Amino acid sequence: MIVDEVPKPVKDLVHEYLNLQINSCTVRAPYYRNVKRIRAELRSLVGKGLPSEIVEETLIYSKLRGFILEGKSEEEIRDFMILQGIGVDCSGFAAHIYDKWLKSSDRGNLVNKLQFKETSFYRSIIRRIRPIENISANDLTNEKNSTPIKLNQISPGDLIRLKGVKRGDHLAIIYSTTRDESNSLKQVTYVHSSPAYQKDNGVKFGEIVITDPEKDLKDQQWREVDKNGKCWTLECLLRDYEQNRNGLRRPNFLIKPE
Amino acid sequence: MKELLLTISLSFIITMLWSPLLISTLYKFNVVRQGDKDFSHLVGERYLKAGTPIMGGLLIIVTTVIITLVTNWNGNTYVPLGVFLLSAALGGVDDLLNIYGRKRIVRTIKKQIVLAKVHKSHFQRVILWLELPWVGYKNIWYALGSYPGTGIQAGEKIIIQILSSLPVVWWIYTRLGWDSISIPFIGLTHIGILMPILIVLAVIGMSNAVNLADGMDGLASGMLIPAYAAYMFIALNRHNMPLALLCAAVVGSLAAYLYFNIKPARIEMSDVGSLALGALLSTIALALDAVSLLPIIALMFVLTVGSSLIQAIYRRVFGKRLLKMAPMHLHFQVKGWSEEKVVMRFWLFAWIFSIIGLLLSFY
Repeated sequence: MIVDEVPKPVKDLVHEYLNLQINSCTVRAPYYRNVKRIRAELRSLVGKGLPSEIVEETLIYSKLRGFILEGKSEEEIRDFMILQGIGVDCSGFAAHIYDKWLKSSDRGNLVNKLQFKETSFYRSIIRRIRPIENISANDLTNEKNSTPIKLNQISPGDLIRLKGVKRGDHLAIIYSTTRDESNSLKQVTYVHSSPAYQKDNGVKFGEIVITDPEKDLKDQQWREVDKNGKCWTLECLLRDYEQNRNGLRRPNFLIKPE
Repeated sequence: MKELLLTISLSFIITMLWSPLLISTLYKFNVVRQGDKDFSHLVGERYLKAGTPIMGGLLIIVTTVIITLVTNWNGNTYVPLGVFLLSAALGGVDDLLNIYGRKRIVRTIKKQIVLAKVHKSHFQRVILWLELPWVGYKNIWYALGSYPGTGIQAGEKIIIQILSSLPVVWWIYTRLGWDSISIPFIGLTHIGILMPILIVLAVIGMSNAVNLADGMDGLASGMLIPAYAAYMFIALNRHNMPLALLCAAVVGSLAAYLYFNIKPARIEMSDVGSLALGALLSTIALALDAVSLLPIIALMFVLTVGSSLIQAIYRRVFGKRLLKMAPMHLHFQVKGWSEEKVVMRFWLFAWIFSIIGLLLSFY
């Protein structure tokens, strides 16, 4: 089998989000979205932090709130983090991943590669100072910044555009693909910060077993299920499927020039 | 010198004698740190101090005022004492509102405009339009991170502090006609119209700096003693006995207050004390023409307010922390220093910088 994965710096960053070291306990980054639209705040408190920032903020808040971390389980620490609004949303996670990808291959910053809709001069300055906080899932998945691709063209770094649990945009990044010797696609692994799956939300992997490469992505076998066997990510894919052209897309900034 | 030592001793004894009365009175009227209403509940350690009497600054204020009125009431002390009491009044009202006040509602500019356009009463519409600049001014402070809470808001406090500093402006700039400041090694430097601005900034700055530094048991009071002691000696050296005696009264009272304020504190200074003592310190510095030494003598307070300001700007602009926590003393506590270690090391540096400032006063 031929396994194709994202570059090592990106793998390391994903690994950091999945294995936050908080006081000798390994914690998976929970999902947090800035629903209150708080402005001018620490990015780790609006769902846009790096793993190190999320860990630092958790340690600071544990002191502030008198929450003793010693002896706490991962679930208890995640519950505390979610209560304090410390976590990462899907676009923050994806923006950091792509930004790392571009920087590690000396191709600049993500914000310089994206095309944004026309905004005021003030907003464009804010985007330069705080890029990650001003890149949305829609920015990464719209027609200006991504191109639809077929299933058999899929490769690491591609993204799956979805309609979120609460109707907002959502996306998952293709982490690895597995093909057989005849180059037939067998399995796809994606990673995202999922708002679904209740207490199991946050940064997680999902797998898609390719049962029929000729069929669409939505018709394959999705393995990211909850206790009841329901795959919320697939449901997000199917939501408003035709209208929003949900599905596989390739970020334009990852397309290498001919 | 004899008068200074007598004043220090008298102030210390009087403060010690009536401290138990004040503490029990504050307990009786439940003037204590509220765990759930107090704005400082954000800091975990402060949350554990819920139930500690606040407004302990009254110990220092009342003792100092009485001693000064009885033994030292003259043309050199009535303005400092006036500013002292005005700032204490501001702090006292803030403390009481924090306990008994209702939560303030934050009305956005957009909502204010909508209300001004649609209110059925013509009179109310006019009022709402007239209030718009004030609402805008308050929203700027909220955007800068001012916590609404129940007490006096940051924007309101600044205006009152500016008004409180105007007597000092009148005294120094108008009545005495001073428009120059002495700078060590440079000499008298003319600043002209900047003098009133400097006076206002010094009074407001020191007031808020001491207020911010009052975040741990014994911290602010322990750092104020060397600062007032330094100015006491500067006043003595410059033959300004009234101001030297005023500083002595504060030193003695602070020392007695510190007895009750070291960890675990039996009483806290709160805004009534911190705002007043900061304003008085800067007023004395201005009156002695030693305001250029204030940033050195009170460097720990300057660093405290500076760290808060820089942290606030940095986190809002870049979305990241520069320090682990602001003000500075919390940064060290979050790093792992115990509260006692932070307080004692800050005391140490306060004494060092006061001595350096005192040394520079000879140049």
